[in-house]
Amino acid sequence: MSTNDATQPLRDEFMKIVEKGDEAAAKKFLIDNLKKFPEDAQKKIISAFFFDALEKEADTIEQRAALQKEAMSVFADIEKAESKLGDEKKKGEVKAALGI
Amino acid sequence: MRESPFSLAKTGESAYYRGVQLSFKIITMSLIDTYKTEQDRLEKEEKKKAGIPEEPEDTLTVKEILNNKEDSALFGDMLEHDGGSTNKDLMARLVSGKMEAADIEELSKFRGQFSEKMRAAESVRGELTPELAQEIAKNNPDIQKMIGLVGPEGIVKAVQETIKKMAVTDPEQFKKISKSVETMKSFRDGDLKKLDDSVKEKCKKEGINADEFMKALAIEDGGDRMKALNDLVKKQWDKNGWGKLKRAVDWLTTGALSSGKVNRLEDSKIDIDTAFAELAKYKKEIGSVLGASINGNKDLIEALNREMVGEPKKKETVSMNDAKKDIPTEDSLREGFKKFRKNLGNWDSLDEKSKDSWRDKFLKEEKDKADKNISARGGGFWASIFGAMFNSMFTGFDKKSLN
Repeated sequence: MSTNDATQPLRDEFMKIVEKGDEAAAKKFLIDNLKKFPEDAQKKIISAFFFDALEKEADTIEQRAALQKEAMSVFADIEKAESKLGDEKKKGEVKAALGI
Repeated sequence: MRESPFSLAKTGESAYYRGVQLSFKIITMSLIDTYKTEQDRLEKEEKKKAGIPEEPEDTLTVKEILNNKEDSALFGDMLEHDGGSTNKDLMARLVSGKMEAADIEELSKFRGQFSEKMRAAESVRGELTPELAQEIAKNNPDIQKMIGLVGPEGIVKAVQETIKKMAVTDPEQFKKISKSVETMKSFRDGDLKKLDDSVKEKCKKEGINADEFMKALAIEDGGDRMKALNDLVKKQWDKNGWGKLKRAVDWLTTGALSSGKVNRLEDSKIDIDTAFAELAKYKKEIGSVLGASINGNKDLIEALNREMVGEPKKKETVSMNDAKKDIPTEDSLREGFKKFRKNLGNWDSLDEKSKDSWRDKFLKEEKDKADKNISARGGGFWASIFGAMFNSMFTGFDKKSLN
């Protein structure tokens, strides 16, 4: 053994999963074995997961806001059109009643 | 003979002198202080005239930075990350405690930059709370599991420690995180919350719901659900088209009804009742989108956004397979060292102390190279994970195996 690192077997096991190219399995391994990693590595793993999740959550919020802005603006246009249409209808009815 | 106050009786004389000296010292110091204040004021005015921004009052001095263990380490990280070879030499002297007089002046050039980064990091740090961790966990099963393992406080402790280092060593990633934190804040109590509230109010007032979308969301299988959602959104918006709908409403608003004259309406051959029915249909369609934006999940929002607002800007994400190429393994380190050793000449004739010093040099270079590669990937999840793995391997690596 050329390292004196007790966590090497853990890393080796992780790298075997990585070699298979299965990202979901690699993430699962990291979470399932989180507490077996040295404290410093634990902090880095937690931070990587957290910041990734934070960015995704913020992205969804931004997409949601963009969608809402678009939809609200068209909704307002439709209501404006409805209101104008209502006015025109009333005018037509008044004119009809007056026989114009 | 009148006695000078300076030749008073020997007993009272020294006390008198000390008093005079003290007064003189106080006056002198006060004069120096006044001079300094005035000098500072003039310097500030000159800088202002020259368009140089004023230095914030809480800018740390070099002494303050170096006297604080954490700040000092971060300052070193910043110099190492931002600087060229000059900074590296400076760093080496700083670490070895062999600072030269000119070094302090050189370091003081960076203290403003450092203080600014620390201020930004502190501001983001303050937002990384257990409440935020729990909020994020609601939509993220991985974070839920982590909270189960270390608690929300454990998450916060880890990320708060990481963020300061990120501010000095990975400014691009730090910028992204700051922006995400700002978005979360705005959604909690800022403009984005106001927008969301007004949509909720609108939906309530109009009795809007998103039944169709919600039915699709009820499909349990993830793959089937995504397909159903995409099909539904495409069916609705491809057929009628978001752009077409907008154009239709625009035309009704600014075209047919712009003049306000009935004859114009007659000219355009629009039947008012038909137009009302059309508008009601559009309203229902848009209403379903608004309703879904409140109740929908991430997949639905993504699908709707793609059709209505346009393809979101692709984020550059580094895959696991690409990121792993950036870090050396134990074996590749040993292989690399063989080449390194060859260039040194007669390795076997060196004493053990010299060998160790070359091993350290090699490992330092390899670590710098790996850190640089990871950083060049623009951060990201897998780059951070492999960075953690590499550091863990590096810490426990038996350098004597380099031979």
